[in-house]
Amino acid sequence: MKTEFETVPCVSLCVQCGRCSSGCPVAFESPHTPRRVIRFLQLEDHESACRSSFAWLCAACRACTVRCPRGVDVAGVMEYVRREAGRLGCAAPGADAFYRDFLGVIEKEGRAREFRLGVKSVLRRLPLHPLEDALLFLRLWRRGKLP
Amino acid sequence: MKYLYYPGCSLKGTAREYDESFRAVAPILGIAYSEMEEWNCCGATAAKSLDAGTALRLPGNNLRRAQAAGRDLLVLCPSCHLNHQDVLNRASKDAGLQEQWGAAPLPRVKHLLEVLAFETGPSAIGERVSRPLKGLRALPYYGCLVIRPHALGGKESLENPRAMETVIRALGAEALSFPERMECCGGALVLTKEKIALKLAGEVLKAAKRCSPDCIVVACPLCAFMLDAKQRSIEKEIREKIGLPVLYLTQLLGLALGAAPKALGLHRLVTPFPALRSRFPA
Repeated sequence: MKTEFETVPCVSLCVQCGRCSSGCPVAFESPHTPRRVIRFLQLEDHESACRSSFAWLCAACRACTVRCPRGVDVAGVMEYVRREAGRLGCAAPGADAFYRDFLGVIEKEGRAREFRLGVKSVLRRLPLHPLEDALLFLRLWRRGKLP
Repeated sequence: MKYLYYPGCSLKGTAREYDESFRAVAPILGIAYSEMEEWNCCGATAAKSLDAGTALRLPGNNLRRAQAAGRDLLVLCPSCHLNHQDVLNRASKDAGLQEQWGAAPLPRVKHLLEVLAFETGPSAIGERVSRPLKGLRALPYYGCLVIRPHALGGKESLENPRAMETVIRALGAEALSFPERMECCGGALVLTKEKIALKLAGEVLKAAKRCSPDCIVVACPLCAFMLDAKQRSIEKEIREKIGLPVLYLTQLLGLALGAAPKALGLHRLVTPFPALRSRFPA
C-alpha cells in the first residue's frame, strides 16, 4: 500500500470485524462504512476508497480508532484517504475547496478567521437555514465573538 | 509547573467565553500559566485533509516554541490538543523526525480537563467553592475529542469517563447522565456537511432534553458552537423546541468559585440561561 513519509497505520492489520462501522455516527449517511473503505485499501483499490463519499462524511470522532481491536487508526486512515483523493483529483469539491480556503487563511495570517471562513463557506453553498444563520452571525457579532 | 497556554483560533473568536472563564478561574484554582505570545493555528481538520507535511508543521511550530521555553502546553480546545499530541507521538516514535527536534526534552500537551480533574483535583476545587451550586442540574456532554483517543493523558476511561462529573460534584451541583454523552455532535462537519452535523447535534439535544437539565456542560468549542450557537437551526431541522443553555465547564466553575457572570462571558451565550439571574445575582 502506498504510504507517505509519515506512517499511515497499516491496513493489513484489519480483520474486517466491523467494530468501527458499528460505532460510526455517520455510517448511516454513506454508501460505504469505514470497514468497507479499509477493505478497498486492503485490495489496493485506491480509487474506490477515494471516490467513496465516506471519507468526506467522516466526523473525525475517533470512535472507530479507540475501538479497533487490532489498533488500526481508522480515523487516521480516513484522513489519508482525503489527502489521496485530493492527489487523484476526486476530492469532494465543496469540502476540498473549504479546506483549501482554510489553509489559505492560515498560511497568510497564522490563524483562522472564523467570520471570513464562515462567509466563504456560505458563498460556496447556501446554508440549510439561511435566516437562522444570518441571525446567528448578527448575534455572534453583537456578543463579540467574531473578531 | 507553569503552563504555556495555547489558546487556538476559536478561543479568540466563537469560544471567547471559554478563554475568559478560564482566565477567571485559573488563579483561584492555582493553575499557573502564561499565554503564548506567538502561536499559529494547529491546522484543525483542514491541514490533515490536504497535506501531511502541513499537518505536521503547524502544530510542530508551537511545540518547538514550548520546547525552547522548557514548558508544557495547556490547551482548551480538544481538536488543537489532538493535533499537537499526534505530532508529539510521531516525533517520539519516528527516528528521522527525532533528529529534527534536537536534544531538548519534548514538551507535553495537556487538555484543561486533565489538569482540573487529575492535578488540581476535586478536593482542592471544593475547598475554593464560595457559592455551592446546590440543586443545579448540570448535564455534562463529552462529545468526541475531549476523551478520544488520548483519554486525558491516559488517565481516563475511553468509554465511561467521569472527569466532568467529578468536577461538577465538587461544585455542589448535581451531575446528570445520558447515553448520548459521548456521541458526536457533528461539529467537524458543520461547514462541509451541515445537514449531517445538524442531525447529529439534534440527537444529542433531544436526548439531553429528556433529562430535564438546567444546563448542558461542555469542554469543547465546537460542541458549544453546535449545541448553543446552532441550537435554533437544529430546532428547525428536527422540528422540536429544545431551549437548553450550554455552558463551558469553566463557566460553571467560575459561578461556584464566586466570579461575576460577566467576567465568565455568560453574556455571550446564544441560547439564553434564564435561571442565571435568579440563581446567581451578580
